[in-house]
Amino acid sequence: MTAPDSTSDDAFDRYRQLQRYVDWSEQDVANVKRMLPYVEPRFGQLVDDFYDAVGSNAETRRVLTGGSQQMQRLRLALCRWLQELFSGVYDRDYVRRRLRVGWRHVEIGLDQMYTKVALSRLRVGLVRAICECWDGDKGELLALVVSFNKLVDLDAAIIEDAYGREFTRRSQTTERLATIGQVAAGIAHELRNPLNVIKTSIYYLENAKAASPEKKAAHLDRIQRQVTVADNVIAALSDFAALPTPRSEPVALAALLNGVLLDQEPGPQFEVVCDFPEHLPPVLGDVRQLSIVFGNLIRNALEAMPGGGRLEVSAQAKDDFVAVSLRDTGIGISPENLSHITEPLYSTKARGIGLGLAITNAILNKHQGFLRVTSEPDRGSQFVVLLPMAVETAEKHSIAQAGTKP
Amino acid sequence: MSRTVTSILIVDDEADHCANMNDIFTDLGYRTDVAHDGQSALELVARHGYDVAVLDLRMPGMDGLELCRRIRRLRSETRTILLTAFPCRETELADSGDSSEPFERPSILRKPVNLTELLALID
Repeated sequence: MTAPDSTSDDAFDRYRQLQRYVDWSEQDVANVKRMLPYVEPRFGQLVDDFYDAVGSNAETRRVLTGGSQQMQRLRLALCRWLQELFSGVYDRDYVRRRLRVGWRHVEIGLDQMYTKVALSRLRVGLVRAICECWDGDKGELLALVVSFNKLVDLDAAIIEDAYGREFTRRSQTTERLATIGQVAAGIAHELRNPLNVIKTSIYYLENAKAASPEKKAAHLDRIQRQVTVADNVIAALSDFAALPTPRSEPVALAALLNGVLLDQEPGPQFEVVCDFPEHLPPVLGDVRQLSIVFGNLIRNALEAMPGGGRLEVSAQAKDDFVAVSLRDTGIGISPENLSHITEPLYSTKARGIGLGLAITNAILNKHQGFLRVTSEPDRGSQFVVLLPMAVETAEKHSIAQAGTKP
Repeated sequence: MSRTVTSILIVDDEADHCANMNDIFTDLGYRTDVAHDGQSALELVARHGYDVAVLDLRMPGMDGLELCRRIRRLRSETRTILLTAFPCRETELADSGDSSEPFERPSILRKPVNLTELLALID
């Protein structure tokens, strides 16, 4: 198992920090080194005891799958670990080898708690060894044991740190793969539908026995339209993949909303009512990104009213924000779905990948804006977008000035 | 299944798909009807009856599998063909059907539809 060097470097820095935390000193190094001649003759016995314990527990025995060869390797590794522990050299390589213990335990699926109890067993064995052979001053012995305990605790900390980081890295990878799978399925569905229409139109154009010129034209239109549908799927994905930092410029919302409404072309079954005050202050934002926000919300509102309905779009300035409200008379959102609607890949529609509101929310976050949703199933939903006012400071200033006038 | 197929019901919430299927089948001389959701499909089945129903698997409201079952309860002679744009395995779909019902399982085809395959299933 390899990890980038920076990982080991960071770990070494952390190790040094931990050393400072426990006041690790040259005296500690000397103390631990002094222990070596007393404990070294017991290494063989301690290694035996260590692996007896591993083998007698059902959960830890599970990881011993490599037969006598693996056992031989593990025993040698533990012997080396013990020797290094008392070597007095606690450098980058020392830390890197401790990291590997943590990484390896994630790899073989050994729960971290067994590392702790195994270390505890070794610690007891080593302390017992030195106590039994020590013939000097009791106070000195205590100092040696204290230094030794610090060292083992540092080892445990760095192994646990490596374990935790590796565990998180692996779970994130697994999660990411699952997400990619979900996205892929969504995209597959969204692209196969337009491709299906294109393919069947081509079939008709090639094989129909009695295709009138009007029919042919209709099929060419359909192909054109479905290419746009497919392109929109890709556009939605690129919106999400590369949400650049929004440009902050004053945006006139009334014009933007009117433009978005025009693009959506609501059919005659919809009654669209707009109510914007004449002097609506501009908001601070990115025109392109805000168009995506309102495009998604208006499209959702229209889709929530399959049989037609009323859409009210209104805006008003409030404190330092402009609030845009979109209220529809559609199918509404059930309370259990309401808390999930801005999660990526969450969709209750037969068509759709579930990115629209996730993108909307991400854009609003970047604008220091908010989205508030209330909904009543079968009655309709209200989406309120709050965006920071562009003239906030200037206006405050003028209000302050107005206030000072007699 | 020796009976000659003359009528086909097309059910899909995607209007362009329905229009295409309608054009292709009509050109081949079949009598066709189109529905965009399960409920109106069932009304048509109850009123007219069809030899074959070509259904989309995923539709808002009633999905294709459920619609399949209901069509067969109404008219057991109607053969059903499911179309899906979803990347799922046929076995998953077949398993999700109710095996206690004595009807044959629907045929399943992927979108984009291979017309040669679909027409072979119909005739």
